[in-house]
Amino acid sequence: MQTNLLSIATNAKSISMTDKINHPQLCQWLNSVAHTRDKQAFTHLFQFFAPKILRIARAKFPNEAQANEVVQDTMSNVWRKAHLFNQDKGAATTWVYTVMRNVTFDMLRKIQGNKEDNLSDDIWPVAENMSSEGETFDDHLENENLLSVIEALPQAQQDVVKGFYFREMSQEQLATHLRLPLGTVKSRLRLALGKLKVQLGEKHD
Amino acid sequence: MINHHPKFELIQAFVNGDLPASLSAGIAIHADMCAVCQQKIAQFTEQVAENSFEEEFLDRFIVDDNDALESIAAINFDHMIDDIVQSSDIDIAIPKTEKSIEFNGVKYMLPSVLNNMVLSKKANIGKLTRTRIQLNEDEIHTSLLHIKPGGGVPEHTHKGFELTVLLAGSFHDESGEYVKGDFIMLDGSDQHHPVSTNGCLCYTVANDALHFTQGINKLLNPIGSFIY
Amino acid sequence: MKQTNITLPIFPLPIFLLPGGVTKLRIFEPRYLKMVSIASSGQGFVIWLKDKKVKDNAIVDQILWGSWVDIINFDQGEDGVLEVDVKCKSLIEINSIEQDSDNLHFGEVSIIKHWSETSIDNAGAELSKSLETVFSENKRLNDLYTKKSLNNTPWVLARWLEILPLDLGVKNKFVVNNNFKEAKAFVESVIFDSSL
Repeated sequence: MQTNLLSIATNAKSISMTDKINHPQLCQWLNSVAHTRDKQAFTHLFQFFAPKILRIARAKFPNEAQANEVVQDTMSNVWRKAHLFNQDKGAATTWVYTVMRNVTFDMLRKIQGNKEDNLSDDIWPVAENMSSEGETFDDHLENENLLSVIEALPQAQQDVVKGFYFREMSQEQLATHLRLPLGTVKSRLRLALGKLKVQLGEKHD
Repeated sequence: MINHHPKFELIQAFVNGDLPASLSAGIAIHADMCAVCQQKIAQFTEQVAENSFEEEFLDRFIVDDNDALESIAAINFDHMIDDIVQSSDIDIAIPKTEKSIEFNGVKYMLPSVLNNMVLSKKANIGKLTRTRIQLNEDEIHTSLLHIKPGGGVPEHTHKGFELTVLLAGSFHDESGEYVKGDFIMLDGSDQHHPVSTNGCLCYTVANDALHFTQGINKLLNPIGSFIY
Repeated sequence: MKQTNITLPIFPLPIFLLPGGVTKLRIFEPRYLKMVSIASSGQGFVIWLKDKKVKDNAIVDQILWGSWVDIINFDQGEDGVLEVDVKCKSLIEINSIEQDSDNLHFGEVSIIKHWSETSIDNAGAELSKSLETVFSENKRLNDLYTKKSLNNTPWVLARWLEILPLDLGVKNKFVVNNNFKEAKAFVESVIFDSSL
């Protein structure tokens, strides 16, 4: 593996952060909830997030009541855990996403495995490790063993290149671009590859 | 230096919350020790969160008045808000307790991810000791596996996947040496014969019993289901 | 096909680049710094598609083609590492390879023709629009291309093939087969609903 690997040194924010979300505003509301138990600010947060959470939950839970429960539990966790949000460590959207994903995970585990062990907060801590700052990929590689490190990079890290530097889209990015669920994009790629093989086969006959 | 990492698809599924608890915990344990993957996960989470809460996805669902909102929700958002803000409780972050486990007279700190998981009694064959982690995921078995110095797992293959995250020590197989933090995911096409010269402790997840492939070791097949 | 034989430095990289394609490279290994100095005073260099996966899957034993690139821009990154933008001007076939004392590879190459160099005007096609959006949403990608031939279907297809999330082994086929229709059908079935 060669030098180009370092070209991933771009911040994901430059790819993903858009103007479509008013991040400072969300942050401010979340902090008001944390510091002054501001019900008005919470109402704003609720109006912003709840419909979106509901839509996402509907895709994961066929049962309407369960989807509603995801909204209720996520938003009530936002109310009770807002003080754990640290705006220096990441965006409000990232924090709420974590809360929602954890609620969803625990609920699915409860439904599927009948386990009420609520493991999600151990797996994805809501209070820390939200940072995308700190030690960057670049820094990690910048030491005196640089060359040997790069030579030894496994495929898994080569794959990172696809995600963060626009040499190639990730499947996730393609899904976002096409406004399609990831699963649909994956099956399209599979289908297209299948067709390609058929065409090749025919040609060789 | 950690050399083996989860591939990007796994990290995506992890961030999306689509993996079973066993594999999610495996990735979380690895990321705790691996700054590179921690960074990847953080950036990807940020990206997914951004996409999830982008306004325009909703254009076709939401009209800017409460009736429309409630009709798609079939729940009363106002009531929900009132209900939530009535509570004055806040969740206090409980400082993480450190748990440890002893194998062969040595005490190992457990990754905090495992704090609330139930461990069953240790079972032992020769230089191998394992304790199952009770996650109740049907055919997926999760364990802590301890190998005493000089011990190893006979050459085997498996129908499904086998994940090993090295928590302490090191082992090697035909493909090379593995060290603390390495995330080693094998599938049915891989055959290997791990040996630990100085002993090690692993977090393992497998979704099928192992099948030993070599001569006399075929007789050992029953221990396949013992180990994983 | 073998009109001219040229000797060029070779940079093995897991990068799929068709004629007209631009990518940014960061260069710090001594042998590749040497390569850049040879390339910028001479005739460019070759990016030779190399990837562990391609070999492992035994899709091809060895890829014998490369992307002949010119350095079109260079800069120093914030950390002082040399960054060069390279643009592919042609595909070449590698006839033989040697290594010099600095472990830099040189190959004797000859030019091969590829459909992506042709021109088919198709202004306003859906594929172009979709690609235009990708450009507009991704500054780093957009900045690489001062001139975009969005009305030229082969150019658009080539850029799609470069950025789609596919195994390099698969991408390799689009050079080896060198079939424009096949490539077009493939990209369309990914971008549009393939059940149609």
